[in-house]
Amino acid sequence: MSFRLRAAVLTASILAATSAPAGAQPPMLDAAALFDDSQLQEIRLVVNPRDWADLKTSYQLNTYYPAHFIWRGRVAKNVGIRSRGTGSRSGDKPGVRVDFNRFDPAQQFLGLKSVILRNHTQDPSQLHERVAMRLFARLEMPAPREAHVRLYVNNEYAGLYSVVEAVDKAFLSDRFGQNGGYLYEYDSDPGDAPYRFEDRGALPSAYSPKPFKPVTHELDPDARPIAAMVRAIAQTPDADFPRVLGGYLDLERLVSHVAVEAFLAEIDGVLGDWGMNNFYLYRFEGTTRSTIVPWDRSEAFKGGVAASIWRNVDDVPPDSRNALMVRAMREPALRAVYLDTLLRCAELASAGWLEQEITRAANQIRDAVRDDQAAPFSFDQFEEEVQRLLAFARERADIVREDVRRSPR
Amino acid sequence: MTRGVSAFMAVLLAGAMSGSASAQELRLGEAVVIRPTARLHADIRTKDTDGESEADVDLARRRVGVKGEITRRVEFEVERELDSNGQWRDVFVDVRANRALQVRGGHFKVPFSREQLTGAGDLDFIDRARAVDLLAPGRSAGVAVHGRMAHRVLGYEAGAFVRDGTRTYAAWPTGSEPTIAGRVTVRPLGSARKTGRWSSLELGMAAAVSDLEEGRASLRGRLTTKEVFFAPVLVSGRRLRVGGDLDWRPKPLGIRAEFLRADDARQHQGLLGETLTPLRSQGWYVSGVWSVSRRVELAARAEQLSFGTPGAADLQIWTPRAEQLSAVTDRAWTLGVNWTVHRFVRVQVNAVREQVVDRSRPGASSHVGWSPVVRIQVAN
Repeated sequence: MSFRLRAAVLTASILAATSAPAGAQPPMLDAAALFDDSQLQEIRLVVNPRDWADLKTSYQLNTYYPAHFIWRGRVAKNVGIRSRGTGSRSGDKPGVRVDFNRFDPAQQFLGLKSVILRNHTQDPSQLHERVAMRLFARLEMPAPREAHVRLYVNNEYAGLYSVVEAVDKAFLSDRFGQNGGYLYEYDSDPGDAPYRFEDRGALPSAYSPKPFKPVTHELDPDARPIAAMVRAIAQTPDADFPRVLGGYLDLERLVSHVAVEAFLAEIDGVLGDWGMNNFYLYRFEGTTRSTIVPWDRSEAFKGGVAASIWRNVDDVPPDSRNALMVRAMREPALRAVYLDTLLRCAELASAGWLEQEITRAANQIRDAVRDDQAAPFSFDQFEEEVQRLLAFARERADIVREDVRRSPR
Repeated sequence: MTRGVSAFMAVLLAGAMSGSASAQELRLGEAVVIRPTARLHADIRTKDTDGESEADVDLARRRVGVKGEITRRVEFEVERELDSNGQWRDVFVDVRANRALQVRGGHFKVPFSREQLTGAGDLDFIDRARAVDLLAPGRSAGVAVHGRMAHRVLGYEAGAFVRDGTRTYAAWPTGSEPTIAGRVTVRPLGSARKTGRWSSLELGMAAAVSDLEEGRASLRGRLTTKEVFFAPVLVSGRRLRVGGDLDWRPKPLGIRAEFLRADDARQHQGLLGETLTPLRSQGWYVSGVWSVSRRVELAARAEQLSFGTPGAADLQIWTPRAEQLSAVTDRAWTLGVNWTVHRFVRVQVNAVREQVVDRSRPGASSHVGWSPVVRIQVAN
């Protein structure tokens, strides 16, 4: 198709998307509707074809390109898109970050400043992330919302993606009722030495911008409370640990978070096989106290259905253990929170919730997976992985319960 | 010491030890004359790092070369940077039929702006005017004819070049970008033979046309501090430059002024492949120099440089493919002192005040401030 014809088609598609029938009022839509996973969403990007080709060729770079973002007749014009991801980066099926305010600082879309279009190149089922985040949310932990989408780029099907809520100021306002605190993304790249809250000294620069990459207050990340927290982990006597560390971190939320990861046999989280990864830390306004927010669950379920709940806690050499979790698990109250959260997860799984979620999501995306020519996995591999997840959902609760039963409180 | 710096020092030392200009020449018989050249510019600039100012020493130019003649009909010049890039500057041969007709071939400056064609050692200020630095063409391989007539009342230079010599980003590999450029100067009130207050007045006009391939970025806006105030957009098609200038030197005063404009076509550069309104980049400067003594000059310059699409309203959104771009303007004032310490050594001190006005972002904090710059120039 010549670019003139293509331009005409794309223009028509934008006009069609933006025009409503005479007299019709556009439905009231909000971000919750975009992340509504009860239905398969559809998102269209309009990008200059050379830019899209360049993004795919240069997928290792973070170059931004202008685009129009279309969802249910709503158009965000001149958004910025770029390739994203670490292990999931792909030139065939690029993970995409959409910043609505990249070129227009005032622009938002349904109150959002940005979203992630996750490409699922590390998960044949394309379900790990969604199911894991649903479990966090079910246990009332702040987690990004997301829904599967058919993504079209210039009217061509680009594959099955998930639209994922970005952890940013809009997220903070929605979940915590504030966004003036300090948000950090734990930033671990391949080749980085594993880090597990070992004491790196009192200098804030030892902790930020690496590995705690500032997302807000980028010019003044003030990592002093992080440095003080890490020093406190190393130096605080047992008797004072809950009180002192509690001043820096919501410890109950942390051990609950790790418990969910453990239930899901996550291998790339706080207790990841390669050190810590895939979480945000948010320090509340005017305090030194932070909380944790989960991110990227593509490696959930990969530890296997029989994974121990003490995996990477006490089954590895001392220098490979997470310093914070080692201290927290010495504290009976926190240990109880950890084990109780695992039991809550097991309860949900036993009640069929996990299996239902997997079945519902798999049925919803099956046709879109079949049509996805950009995915690095075959349709047969999708079905195999779905069956493995269903088996996990059926068997995991008993294994975890037995582990909990054998664990001293 | 690197080989490049060693060569530079050797040339300067040879120059310093020689008592006269003729001693800096190498003669091969009667016909061939070769003159080694060297130039070093050390700049001290302040820059803001994390809100704190700190001085930064930059060896802005380290060049060595040779100039020469082969008979009275042929001149040549070769000059190379000694930095890590090691780029060739001028590499050309000039053949003279007579004063009115000379032919130059090789790699040299595309004729356009008066200040752009002025050598780095002869500038009244440390940095060329923003508009000249960012809008005028650079060096390219090509062929040009030039000459002067009627006792320098009329001068001209016109040529064809492989590209326009502008160092801008290309999203994709680009081939040649044929460029045709021409420049005419006229002294309406005098000639080289006349003396008098108005005889030195010279006016110039120039135009240059280039073909830009798809993927080429436009000209960009950059402050003297190197900070980008207008990020380039994607362009494709014709780049048309026009300019005019004035030079008047009623000693001890000297006045110069220039206007430059570049229109970059943006054929099929829209998000949907549509053709966009051309980007217009334009600027001007007016400068004055007062020779206080044989060795000391005071200088002042006012200038402006802006980027945008003609007729664009306020509050347009910048993207590399934006349909309309509202004007972003850099206004600068420079005050300077030039001190010729020695035949080979010149010290320049400039204070530059720049202000960026961005019509697309009313209320946005604009860059305003004085930046002191000191240059020590050593050249033979």
